[in-house]
Amino acid sequence: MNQEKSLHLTEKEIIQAVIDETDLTESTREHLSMCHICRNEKEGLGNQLIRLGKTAESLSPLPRKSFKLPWKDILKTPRVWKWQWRSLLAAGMAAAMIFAVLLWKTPFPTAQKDKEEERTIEFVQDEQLMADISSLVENPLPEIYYDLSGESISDVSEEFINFVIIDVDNLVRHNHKKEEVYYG
Amino acid sequence: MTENLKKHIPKHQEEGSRVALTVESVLAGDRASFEKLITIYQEKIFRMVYYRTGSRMDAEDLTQDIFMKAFRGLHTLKDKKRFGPWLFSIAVNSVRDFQKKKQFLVFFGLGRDMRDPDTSNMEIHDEPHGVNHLMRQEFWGHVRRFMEKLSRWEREVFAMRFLDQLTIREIAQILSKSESAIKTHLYRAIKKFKENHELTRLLNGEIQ
Repeated sequence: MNQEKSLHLTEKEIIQAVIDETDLTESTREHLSMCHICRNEKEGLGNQLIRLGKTAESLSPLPRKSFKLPWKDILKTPRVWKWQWRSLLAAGMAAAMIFAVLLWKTPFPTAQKDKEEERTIEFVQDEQLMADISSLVENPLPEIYYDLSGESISDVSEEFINFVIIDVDNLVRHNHKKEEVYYG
Repeated sequence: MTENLKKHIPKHQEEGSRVALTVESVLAGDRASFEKLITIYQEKIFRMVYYRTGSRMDAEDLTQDIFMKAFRGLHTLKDKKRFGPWLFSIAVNSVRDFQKKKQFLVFFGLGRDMRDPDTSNMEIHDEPHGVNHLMRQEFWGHVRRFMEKLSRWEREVFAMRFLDQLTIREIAQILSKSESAIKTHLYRAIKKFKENHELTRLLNGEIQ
């Protein structure tokens, strides 16, 4: 009895038998055909699964009417043409996108070039401004006033200039001295 | 059990040859032959979609769409005998697309929630207060709760095998997977089914 019990199919083998009996070993198959306990167990599980399918079928609605293809619509717009039209449209869009990407990419070097030129111009302008400032610092008066300021008269001595243009301080001191001599 | 299952599964080889001839006629320009194909498959496809969307209206729209796609792509079918699995693969993909769209709409608050697209929100159409209504509600409630415990592939394979009643070979063809992979998913799903006493008791008629 014990030996017979140990030979009974395991749960795994019962499930395997339900799925596909040919997957079992020959000895197991032989046992299954002889042993009513194992056969009942296998058939019980199999019948439950069949009942599941049948119940699902009986508890499902049926379509309200038979299905018919709309032949007029199908024949009116041939699928092949539609497909070609769609693929052409897709190809056109892809080409447009590639074109757009190429156009988008090219402005970058131009923009960079423009910026470099701008920087060079700014640099030159800055240099010019700095040169103007330095020359203004060195020669603040325009050239026309140089004769008046006397800076351009190089052959006249300083003594002569002091004689021509009287120093106000010297003049005041000179007047004081005169007054002191006169009044005692 | 295998014999029992065979009784419920169509004789694929005979059907395959018959369907292949009909497909050839459609490709030769006989539109009426496509109507024959619709007649053969419409209930299976409709039910398959209904199990996954839970709505009769959505199932009707999707089934119509699936047949339209099938007609338009028929010239791409190499093995005419495989029309059935090929049609089911169109259906599986259409349902998947539909669920994605629905989830997208739900995400933006524009559609109703479909937490389990396989069996939730089963619309009850007939006898809204009758016994049938209660039975449907209870049955689909149990199925939904069970399906929630399965992984995506386990759920898909289990539904195809026992709700849509397709063979393992057909499922493998539809899902582009090996038969052994399908068997592995099926094994795990059946193990969980066996452990789901609520559903098994209901199927054994122990729950009234």
